[in-house]
Amino acid sequence: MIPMPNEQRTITLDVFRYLPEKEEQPRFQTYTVPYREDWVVLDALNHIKDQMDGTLSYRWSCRMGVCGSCGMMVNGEPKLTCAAFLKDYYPNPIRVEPLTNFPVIRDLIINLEDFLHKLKELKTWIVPKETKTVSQGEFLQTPEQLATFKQFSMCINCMLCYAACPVYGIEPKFLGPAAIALAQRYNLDSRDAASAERAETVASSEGIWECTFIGECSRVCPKHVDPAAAIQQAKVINTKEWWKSVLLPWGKK
Amino acid sequence: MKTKEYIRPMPATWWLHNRHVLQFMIREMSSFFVLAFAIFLLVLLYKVNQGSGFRDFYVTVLQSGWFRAFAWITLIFVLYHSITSFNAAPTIMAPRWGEDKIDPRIVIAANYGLWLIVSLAVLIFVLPS
Repeated sequence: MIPMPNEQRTITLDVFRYLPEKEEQPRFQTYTVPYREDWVVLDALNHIKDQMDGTLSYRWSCRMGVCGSCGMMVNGEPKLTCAAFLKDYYPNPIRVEPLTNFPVIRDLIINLEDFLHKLKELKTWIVPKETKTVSQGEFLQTPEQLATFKQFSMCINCMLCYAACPVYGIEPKFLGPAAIALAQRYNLDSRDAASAERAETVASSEGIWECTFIGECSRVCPKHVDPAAAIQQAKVINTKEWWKSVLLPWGKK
Repeated sequence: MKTKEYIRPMPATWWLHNRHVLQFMIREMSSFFVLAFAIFLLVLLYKVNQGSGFRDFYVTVLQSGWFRAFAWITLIFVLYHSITSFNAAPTIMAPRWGEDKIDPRIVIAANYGLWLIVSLAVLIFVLPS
């Protein structure tokens, strides 16, 4: 069969719709959009929004896998829709849903408040060991010191890891992969002095010990942050610290 | 004004939706077989030392068809549990050499090597006695 030119080919998107002011329950709406080999799911959604149905709501910004705002479930898999090519699904229909494990505000938009609250709780920023004025210069770091945490600093807060994590789905109090990976990123930073303050939250029953190491967070992470590694390594560090406090109670933590 | 949010329930079949999660569940369930076999062996060792009556009983049990089936199933699960755990080891232990991470294959190989050494030690020193 001779393939039709791109302009004539189409692909179907079954899109999750939830309009809280009008409907009690969500529904799926089917849209048939032009198929282009270089289009991603986000392009198809933008086409729907611009040309077919302006009421469709979703988040997006950079279109290049940096901002982390266009994460959605694509055929049941958490994906950045700016990196999910239509050609990988064609000619089958594509089911687009908001990221699972989060409350849905509208259509494909989820509520991120829980995650933002957890970031604050975990103090995911540098708490310097000493204060310095600008004239005293920068906080220096060797390439080796940078290498210990660089991978965990690549997180773009896209929430795919939370959507992939069954533990978070079952127990929303779980701090979750990205928040713990970011806490670990700052704990490992040689310029930071707040690991002891974070430890109480990180090592709580809602923290690292809630993780059963399924590893789905790392599998779906578009930036290869490997949050599962951050959590398991935090478990090892916390266990060592606990043994030190038991065996050497007089020692410095 | 805050609108009403929709909370999607977690289906009871969540662990069947994805091959990777199913593999994880099998790994977790394999622990029960490992534990059951370990308890059986410990009880056996304890009781065998208590007299020949128990010894005969255990010999009968060990030679029975159902026990052999259980032992084979346990062996499969132990191998599955060990191999998947060894493959996950580089995620838990991420040793570094300066700026570079040590190749995960080396960490996995070290685990297999240690397994081999311990198994040989058991074969050479424990079993003959």
